[in-house]
Amino acid sequence: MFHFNMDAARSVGVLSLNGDLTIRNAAELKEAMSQAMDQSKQLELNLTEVERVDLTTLQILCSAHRTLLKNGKTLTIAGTLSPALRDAVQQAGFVQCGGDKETSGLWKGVMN
Amino acid sequence: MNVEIDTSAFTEEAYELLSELEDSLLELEASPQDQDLISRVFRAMHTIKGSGAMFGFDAVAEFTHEVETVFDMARNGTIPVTKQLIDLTLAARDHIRSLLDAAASGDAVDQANANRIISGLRSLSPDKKPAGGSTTPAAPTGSKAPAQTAAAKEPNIFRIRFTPNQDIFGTGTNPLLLLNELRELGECRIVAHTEKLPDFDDLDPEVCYTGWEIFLTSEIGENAIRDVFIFVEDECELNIRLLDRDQVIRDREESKKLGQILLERGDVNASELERALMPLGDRLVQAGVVSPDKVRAALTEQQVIQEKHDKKKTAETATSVRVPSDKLDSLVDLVGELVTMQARLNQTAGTIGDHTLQLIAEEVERLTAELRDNTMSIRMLTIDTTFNKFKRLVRDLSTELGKEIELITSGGETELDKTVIDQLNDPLVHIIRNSIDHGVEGPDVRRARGKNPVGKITLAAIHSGANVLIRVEDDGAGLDANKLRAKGIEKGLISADDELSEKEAFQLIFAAGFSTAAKITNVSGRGVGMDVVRRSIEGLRGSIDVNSTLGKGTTITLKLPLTLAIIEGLLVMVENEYFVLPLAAVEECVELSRDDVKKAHGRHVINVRGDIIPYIRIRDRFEIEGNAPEIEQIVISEVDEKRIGFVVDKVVGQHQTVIKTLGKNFQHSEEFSGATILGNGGVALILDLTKMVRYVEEEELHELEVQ
Repeated sequence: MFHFNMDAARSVGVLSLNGDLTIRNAAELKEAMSQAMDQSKQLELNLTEVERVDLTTLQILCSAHRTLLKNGKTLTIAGTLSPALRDAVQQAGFVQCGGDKETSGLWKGVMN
Repeated sequence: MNVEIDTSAFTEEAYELLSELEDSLLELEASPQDQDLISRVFRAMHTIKGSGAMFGFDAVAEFTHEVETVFDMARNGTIPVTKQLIDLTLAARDHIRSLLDAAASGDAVDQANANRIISGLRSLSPDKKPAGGSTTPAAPTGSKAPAQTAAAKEPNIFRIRFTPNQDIFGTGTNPLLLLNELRELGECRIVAHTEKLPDFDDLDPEVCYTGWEIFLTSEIGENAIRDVFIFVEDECELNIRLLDRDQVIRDREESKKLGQILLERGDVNASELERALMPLGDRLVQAGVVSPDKVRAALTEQQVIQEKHDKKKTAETATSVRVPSDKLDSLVDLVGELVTMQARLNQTAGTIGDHTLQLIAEEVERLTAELRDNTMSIRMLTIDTTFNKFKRLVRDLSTELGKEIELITSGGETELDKTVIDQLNDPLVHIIRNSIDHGVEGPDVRRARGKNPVGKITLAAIHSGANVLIRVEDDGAGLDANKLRAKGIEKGLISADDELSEKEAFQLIFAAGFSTAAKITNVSGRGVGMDVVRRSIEGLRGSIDVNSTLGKGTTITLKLPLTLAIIEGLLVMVENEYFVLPLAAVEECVELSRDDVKKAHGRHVINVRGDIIPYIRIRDRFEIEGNAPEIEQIVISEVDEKRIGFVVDKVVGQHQTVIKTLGKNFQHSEEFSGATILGNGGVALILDLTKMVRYVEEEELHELEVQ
């Protein structure tokens, strides 16, 4: 469900998430994110294969994004979002999330 | 991970809502303009739909949705509340019930019926005019409706602040689904508030940190928005505000286009846009007229009032507890055991004669009595739910038979033991059916007889001592004693030369296999009704009485004991036998000496302060051997509104009586309503005074005839 590997050439950690990401595995997702965050200065998410998503996932990703920024690290999204995730971000009104002046929004580039 | 969901909570709630729905609909029929009632119907439906979907009753949810849609139109004044709408909704209510039943039993449901109801409902909606056009509402309503729709066309802008409690996921709620529901109501801008989202390390993945601000542009009213949040009312903070329309329009002209574009491009934060579109308070602050604190205070004040209101609401809901009735039954059983045991304690304490022990025994007795009263009061239910059921019965049956009948109920607040109420339903159904079918005449006949074409059935409950009287009164044709007599002879229930008083003739309707209706309908008249009624009422230790005036109407009175489990009794002794008389019937005790008996010249009567009172000697009645004491006691009791004495050797005193039913072998001894266990382990029989008097009367009449 979660797969992490280091792209040594770019020195970027890539975390791929797929399948259902709901409250049932929210704790596992947090754990996976936490490990990935510890291991990489630049973290990239691959979210193309995500199926069901609920609010807990969005909260985890947003919180991770903010925390990383605060610590001088980055979190970016590689490629496109899966349709389910895209819908969820829109439905939950998270499109703007983290899109203040100081920092760039997590979802900004991938929602258009 | 497989989560087993307990659906009983839903079904229980749904059944309750359905009966509430029925009541509301019937009330609504009487006052179709009542907005409160329309909303109540709508809310009941909405709750059934919502929780049905939540618990996986998809068929229920889908079907209810159709009904709800039509009722929503009624609520908005788009369609009028007509008899047709109510008929269909009642049918729909029955169908939902059968869906629930089917879900429990696994039986198939009548899909054709569902389709019929749905298409009927759909034909009521204005945009799909029915083909026949027969349901077009009357002209005045027709002209009013477009005006209302026009008024509603002007879109409103609502600002909805929705902040779920942190533990909302625990109830299985998915806030995103609620947001989607809002989207269905109109154009929505949704902004998430994620300020509360903690740093990653402190993040609890299963807590909801997010709140939302939603700007909804729609023609619907605030109620429709609240309905979306109906299930999470207690699990969130909800603040809905209609933004000032003039201001909004003005602002919109200059700022909306720009604002929306900026928002959509993500160049402007939604909260910034809101600030521009927003309330007076913030604008004043920006203009430097008032300090932000003042505004905050005013807002807090608003909030405090709201919170106070919410708290009150939760307090109200917390005051009642739902308990399965078998738990209550076992509680009553236990109290019964305790009462018996306490009697034994009293007895033992008395024998030992230790003063301290006696004091304790008395304390325990007091507590037991209190515990008993409390327990019994928990089991008491008001009879109005039973009464309300009959509104529907009367309505449906009278329509079926082409009669117009109004049901008037009174005394619905009267309380009765739950067991009694449960067992009262069927007998009352029979009696009321009989009144509708045989009693009340059709409108034409009534008009010809100079009566109001609308018949009347009155259902009343009244307290009377340890009993409750339930009276079913109709203003119909009344019972014809001669007809009854003829029928009785025909059926071989009485012989042709029997002389019957009017009252005795009326009693014939309770005989097995007796039916006077010339034509048998499916409503009543199969001759199995009234004898069953009498048996079940007597099974409840009650009695039934008929009174009727030909052409004026019939009154049937049920007399029922308040409770079946524990009563206050008067313990008496004859020789070595103990008996209990229900204390509620006892009026006084007087002495009976040998001289008194002599003065009466062998007749069983005594003069008590000028009143001549007949008495029954229990010693003779039950053929108890031995000699009566010099001075006996007469317990004077009220039986069927007459004063009758019961002669015993000795009055022992008041006794908390736990009623035990007699075993099968003693069921035929109808003079006893049961037995109770005494403190010394002995058994006392409980006398059924009414029946005893009836038997003695019958026997004496018989003796007179023989002579």
